[in-house]
Amino acid sequence: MISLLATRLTSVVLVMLVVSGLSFCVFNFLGDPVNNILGVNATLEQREELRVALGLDQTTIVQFWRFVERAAVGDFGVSYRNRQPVIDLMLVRLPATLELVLTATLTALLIGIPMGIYTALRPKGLLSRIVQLVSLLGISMPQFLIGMLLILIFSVELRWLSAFGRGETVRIGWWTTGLLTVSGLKALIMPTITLAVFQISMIMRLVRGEMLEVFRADFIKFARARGLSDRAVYLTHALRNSLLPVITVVGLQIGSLIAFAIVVEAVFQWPGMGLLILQAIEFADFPVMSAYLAFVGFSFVMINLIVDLTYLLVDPRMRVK
Amino acid sequence: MINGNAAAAERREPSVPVLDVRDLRIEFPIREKALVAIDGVSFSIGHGEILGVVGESGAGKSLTGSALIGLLQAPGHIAAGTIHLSGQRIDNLPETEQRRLRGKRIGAIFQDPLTSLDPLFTVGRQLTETIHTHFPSMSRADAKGRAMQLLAEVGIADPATRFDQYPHQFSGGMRQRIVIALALAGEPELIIADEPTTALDVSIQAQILALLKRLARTRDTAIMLVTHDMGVIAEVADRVAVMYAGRLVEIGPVEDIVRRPNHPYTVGLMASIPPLHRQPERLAQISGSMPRLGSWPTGCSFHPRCPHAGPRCEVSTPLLMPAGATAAACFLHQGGTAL
Repeated sequence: MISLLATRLTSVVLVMLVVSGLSFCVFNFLGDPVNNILGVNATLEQREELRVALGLDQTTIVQFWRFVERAAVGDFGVSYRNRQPVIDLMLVRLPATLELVLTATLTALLIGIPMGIYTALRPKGLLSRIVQLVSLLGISMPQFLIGMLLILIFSVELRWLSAFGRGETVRIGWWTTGLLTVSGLKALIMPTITLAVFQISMIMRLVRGEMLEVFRADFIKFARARGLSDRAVYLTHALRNSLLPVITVVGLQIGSLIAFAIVVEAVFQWPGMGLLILQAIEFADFPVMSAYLAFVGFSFVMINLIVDLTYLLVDPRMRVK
Repeated sequence: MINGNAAAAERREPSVPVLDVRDLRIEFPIREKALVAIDGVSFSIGHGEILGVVGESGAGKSLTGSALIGLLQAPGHIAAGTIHLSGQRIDNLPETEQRRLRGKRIGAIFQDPLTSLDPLFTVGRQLTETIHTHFPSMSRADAKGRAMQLLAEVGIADPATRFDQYPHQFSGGMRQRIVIALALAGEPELIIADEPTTALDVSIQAQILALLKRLARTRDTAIMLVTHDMGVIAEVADRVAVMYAGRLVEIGPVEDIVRRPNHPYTVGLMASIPPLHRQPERLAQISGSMPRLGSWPTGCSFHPRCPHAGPRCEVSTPLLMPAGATAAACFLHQGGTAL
């Protein structure tokens, strides 16, 4: 188990090195940082001065190492657009995105898993067929369309929910949360649904497929032969065995939710990191882009690590000495 | 002092067999017609008796076993016949009642011990879970003690340590012992063992068979041992039932079936076992193969492969009748000739 942890941590470090290499390239080789900062009207002396100040006169290797050193403590330089440290911009936006992604994931799990179980247990029931059909829609509809439909219905026609922003937020340290105010929670509803629809459908289909597969396993037949109740057979033995692949996929999905949040944040003008990166792309704000790249890479790597550790908890076969 | 065993013997009325199957017929409705998978099978098993059920794959051995524990795969169902467990009719019970029998009065052991146990739970958890299902009023501590006893009884050394281990930490033979302990958890009168040794090494097979035999003797449990391995049957069974294409073709004491078989199929089956002491030139074999479900011939289903078949065999189905020391379903022994 210790060795497994060690190999995983090594791979975390390696992947992060590659990711920072990529984000270093974005930072250094896309456009000219000196031009970007000083504009085209600066004198040669000014340019040379800044070059030295930024360390651009050093070799690429040294520059990369400095980049990694600074990135490790969260220093991604200063945004070209609004002259603020990139890390400050990110930290302001981070809570909005994470709260959205986490509520969407929870919603997807809380709806997707029970629906998956139900449709696996009653594959021929009317409700199962309806759920299956709707989930096909959910899996094939583009997110921006779902978001715009929701806005059309609930904001434009019914006027129940606001179509943009996070509502009122409460500050806890540097973290701003929308989970503690009524308007904050209301503002979360539509973006959460938009982001979760695909996940609900996918988790439901995954749980259903896995359970149908596990139902055919010998140990389920034997559990029934032991006289266990249907509840114990299905919800204890079948479900737990079905959830192993679900953990993997949900983990990967949280990562892509962070990335996909861009679309949802744009539709609902959600002040999260997705909106930040969209603005950064528009203005060719390379420090922000490279920091975002590093952040997404880091999220994926950490989530994978957590998934691996969860596997250790759930599956005793992984805990090999 | 009144002997406890004698009192127990009186309570269970020795005349009533543990399991009594009469004219069992299992059908699979496919579209408009019904495929008959088991037809007119009758047998019984007494206390402490091991009945071996042999036959080729697809003969209906396992299907019979599944029907007994009420776990026939839909759309298969019992179309006719009766099943009595210690005198109580069980084939027509509603599903909830049938589940109460499973594990409690009828235990089951399956072929592959590697896949019979849930990999995510400790063997102790699976044992206590089963014990609690059948004895809901038992305390946690008692259930754990009972589980340890069962582990010890099936020959698991150091049950206290093994209790908290997961299935993958056991060898195949040890896992089959745990499966047996699980089958015993409800103190069943009858155990259906479906190919319990097929997936095991030969040396382990003998141990598991010895264990089953010991359980039948010490617990007085009736065991239905389904297998295609005549060696296994010869080693542990008291009586043998031979199945062919969904029917019982011969049933009798193990020595008679092995030494003096009466049905031509059993004769062929015995002749195909390699003898231990001399090297035969060539093993005898039964020509052809067993017909697939749904394409069984009329009359005696064995007649296309039978060396003694006559015109009568093609039109009418022989019933199980006494023949020598066994009972065989063959016209050869009913009026002397098949012709």
